[in-house]
Formats: sequence, C-alpha cells, structure tokens
Amino acid sequence: MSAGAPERPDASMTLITEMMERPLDPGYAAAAERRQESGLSAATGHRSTMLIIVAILIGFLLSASALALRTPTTTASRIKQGLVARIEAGRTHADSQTRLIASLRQQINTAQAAALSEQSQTRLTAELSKLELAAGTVPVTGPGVVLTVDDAATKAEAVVPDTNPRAATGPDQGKVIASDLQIVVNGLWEAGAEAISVNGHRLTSRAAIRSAGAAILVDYRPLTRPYVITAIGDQGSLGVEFADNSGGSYLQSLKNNYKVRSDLKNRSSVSVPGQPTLSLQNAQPVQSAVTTPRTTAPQTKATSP
Amino acid sequence: MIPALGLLVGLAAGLLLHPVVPLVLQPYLPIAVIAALDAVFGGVRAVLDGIFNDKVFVVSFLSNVVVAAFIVFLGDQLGVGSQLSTGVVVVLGIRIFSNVASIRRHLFRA
Repeated sequence: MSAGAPERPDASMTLITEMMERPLDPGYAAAAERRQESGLSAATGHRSTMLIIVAILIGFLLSASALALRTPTTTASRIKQGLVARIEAGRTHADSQTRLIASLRQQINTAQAAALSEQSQTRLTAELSKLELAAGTVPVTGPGVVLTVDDAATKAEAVVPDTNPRAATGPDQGKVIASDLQIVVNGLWEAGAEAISVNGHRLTSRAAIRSAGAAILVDYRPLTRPYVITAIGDQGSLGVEFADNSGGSYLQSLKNNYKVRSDLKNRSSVSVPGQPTLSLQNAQPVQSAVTTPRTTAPQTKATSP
Repeated sequence: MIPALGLLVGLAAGLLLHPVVPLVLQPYLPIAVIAALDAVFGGVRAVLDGIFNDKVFVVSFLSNVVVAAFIVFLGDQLGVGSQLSTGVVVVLGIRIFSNVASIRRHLFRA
C-alpha cells in the first residue's frame, strides 16, 4: 500500500489482500506487455515443444502421485476388510455351532425323555423338566414385564453429583453402565422374576453382567443399546414390587439425575430364550443334595471390573 | 488443445507404467501436485485472459514445484514439515480457487 493513499482498514493484511486480489502470476501480464511493446500479439501459441513436454510431465506427475499415495490406504483398508471378514466368518461359525448345540441338546432331551418314559419313570421326567426350567436351559414364556433402559438422549448435568455412587464413573454421566444393569436386574430378581433375559441373552446361574471398557457384556457377549430386559413373573406384582425396591428406586434416581431413559411395560405374555450351552465341567452334586432340587431363581453375579 | 492432449498422454503413461516413487520423494508428492495444479489453472486463466505465455507457464510450473518441495524439505529439517505443508496447501489452494473462479467467469459469465 502506498503511503500517500488514505489508510485502508485492511492495511495490516497486505499479504492476504495481495493473494486474493492478484492470484495470477504477475509474470503473465508483464510478458504480455513486453510482447505488445515489441509489436507481437499478447498471447503466445500453445504449440511450443517445451509446453507439451511440461504438460506431459504434469499429467505423469498427477497419475504417478495418485498411484503412489493411494497404495498405503488401500493396503490398510484391505487388511481391515480381511479382519472384518474373518470376524464375520468366525461369528457365523460360532452361531451355526450354537444352533447345532441347541439342536443336539434337543435330541438329547427327547432321547432322555424317551429313555425315562420307557422305564416309566415319569416322576424323574417331571423333575428333569422342572430343573431345566429353573436352570434356564430351555426357553420359557409367561406373563411379565419388558424394561427398556437406554442412555440419556443428551449429556445431562448431574443434579447432586457428590452424593451419588456414579459420580466417579467418568465424564459421560448419561450412559448406562454395567453396574446399573446389575442393580436393575437384581431388583427384578428381588421383585420375584423367575426368568430374565437381557437383549435376548438368558441370565442363568453362570451368566455375569460385567463391563469391558465401555461395553457391557452379558454372558461374555457384548450388548448394544437400548438394553431390553425381559422378565417373567407375576404380572400384578412384578412391576409394582420392582418400582418399590432398591433396583426400581435406583433406576428412578438414574432417570431423575442423569436423564437415563427407561420404560417399563407389563405384558400378558413374554418369552425368554434358553441358554442351551449351559454346562458344568467341574461342579459335582453333593450326594445329599441330589434329591432336593433347587427351584429358586439364580441371582445375577455382581462382578465388578 | 495440444497441451491438453499432452496432459492426457502423461496421465495415461503414469497409469500404465505404474512408476515406483522412491520413499524419500513421497512426502513431496502432494505438494508437487498442488503446485502443478496451481500452475495449470493459472495457465488456463491466462489463456482465457488472452495473455498466455508458454515460457512463463513452464517457469512458473517448475519454480512452483521446486519451491514447494524446498519448503517441505526445510520444514522437515526444522521439525515443522506438516505445518509448512499445510501453509503451502492453503496458499496454493486459495490461488487455485480464485483462478478457477476467474475461469468460471470467463466460461459461464457467472
């Protein structure tokens, strides 16, 4: 900017002004002026050898660098795709094996029933099915509640951060964590639930609700939100007692303080899937206890990370 | 017209020959590409302005690439390679966009 001119408001940004106002090389204008002074046309032809060589060079540079710089990302994504494919193949395999186990177990059950009925031991058959029902190896259906718990819609400020056990859980307070689910599920057991599944995973005597990092695992399977807890129990009392006991009040406080969303619905008929892979390798029955079947519902193990 | 054909020939040659760029030169490639694009758009604009000069074009291309590579090299030596690369990309990007805007005004009157 010349000193004589009135001061421009953008005088301190001459670099940017220059760049924006004269993006073209001043060289072109200067060369055109020189040519016009010596009596030639302002523009030269586009057919000089040098120009064509440079054009070829530029094209070569563009494609060469595109190829050279693209390769690493394709390699990385190929590896990632391979891993994803392997994970999916493994999961499909595991699922098909689980289905195979279920069908084999079905066969075992029918064979067992046939063997027992052949020996006319109907009492044993009845006891076996009762035990299976209590152990959670077979799908069950009955009246109950469906409780849907989900993270808060937006991050909410804690109302009373100091007096709450969740205060030290991390920055994202509106997130449902494993211990929340543990407390809620224990509240449902306490309210008289006879069978509970979380997102389709049956809670048996061996299924733990635990956290692995940010994920919630039930029976070592990761869950995705929303968490749908299905519980079978007395339709009249299950919901009411749950709302009264510690699990229900804990859920209510989560709702009030952290805007965790939850929704309890009474249903006349819900079904809870079985956990057919339940098997014990090391536990042996105590001789005196064999004849007294435990029919109480299993308590969820409250493991903490 | 002929330079445009040359550009296509160069592109095809690069795609077909699949040259292996030495690892040492790879950090300079993105900057070189941006510098080349700047020269190309500047040249196209000059053609449309009616003041194209082949010598200026060749020299601006070569100097752009050399200076851009030098800036990145210097930045690498000083430990601010990525920042300087960003600076070069921003400056040349602004130039490319204003040249393209000017080309657009010439071609579409808009």
